[in-house]
Amino acid sequence: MNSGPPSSSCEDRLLELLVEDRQASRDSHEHLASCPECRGQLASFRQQVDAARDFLAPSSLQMQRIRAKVWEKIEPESRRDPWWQPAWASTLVLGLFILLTMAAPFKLSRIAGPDLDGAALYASADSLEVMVDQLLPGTAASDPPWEQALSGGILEVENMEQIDNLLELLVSDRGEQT
Amino acid sequence: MDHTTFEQFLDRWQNDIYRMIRSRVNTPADAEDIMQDVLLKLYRGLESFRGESRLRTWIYRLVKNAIADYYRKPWWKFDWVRETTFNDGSERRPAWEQHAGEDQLSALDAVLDKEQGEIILKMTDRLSPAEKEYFTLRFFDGFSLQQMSEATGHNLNTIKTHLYRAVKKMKMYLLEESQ
Repeated sequence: MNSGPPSSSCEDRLLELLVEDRQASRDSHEHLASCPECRGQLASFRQQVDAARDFLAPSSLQMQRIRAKVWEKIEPESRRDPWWQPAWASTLVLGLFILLTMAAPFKLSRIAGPDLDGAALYASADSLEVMVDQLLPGTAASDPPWEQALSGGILEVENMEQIDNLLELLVSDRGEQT
Repeated sequence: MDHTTFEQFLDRWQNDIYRMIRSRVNTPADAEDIMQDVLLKLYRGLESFRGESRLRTWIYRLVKNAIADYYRKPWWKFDWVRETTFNDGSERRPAWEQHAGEDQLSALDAVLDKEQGEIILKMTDRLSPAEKEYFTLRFFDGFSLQQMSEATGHNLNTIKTHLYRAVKKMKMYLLEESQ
């Protein structure tokens, strides 16, 4: 590049060779082979560019420092748990929360006690309590317990058979009275 | 990606990547910061790199984005007080001096000596932004015309037009310098 300006033909061919490099036309390559002026300019330009590339290259100390800093940042990342572990834990917690939220109304109804409608009360009772206070006058102490209960107390019955017996007694007793 | 593979990758590419960054920023300190960001992104992304674009093209895009992100960084995130080591290791100046100056290029001029490579590099600042980018890609980053087209998304004719102008100007600047 230190010599005087080349002819316009040289100038154009040199530009083409610099820009297109190997893809430059065959004519330009042939011209280069035959023109020492262009060869000199091309070599000079490439030398300058190489000098700039060298200037831009990092020193080994710089690269050591950069690499050390990068590894400092990478290593905590690689030690961290895989992504799916926290995701799995979150899903589990969320699932439990939903399950508990859905189950809560059932649990609360049981704590609050059964509904007060007759059928539910009847169904939920462990033993049946039948009030017969107004049905019959008093009975003797020697009577069976359920007959005593008929005289004005509460008869506790354990099953439906006892209720049937009681009803049968009541019906037959009423029948005798009438 | 395991440690050894990434080390091998760095051995092969670190100079190219650094050069790619350094030719587009004003100071070695900025280049180092950006280089760290780029290497971290490469470490995280290399495994998913499927070779759809050439590696060099992909790295170029990462570098461009990292530089853009870096200079979008608000002033309070700059490391103002860190000492800066220059390429030759001969001079250390706090980074704030470089950022605080009204003319960063003149600040850089004061630090750099008159080596040939630096002169060329400074000359590229006289080119238009597009010309400078294409000249840098072609001659400093070693991209072919086809790779330049892939990397920038511009067609070959546009690239050649800018490149012809850039080379012509650079030849003229070099001639001026030599006289």
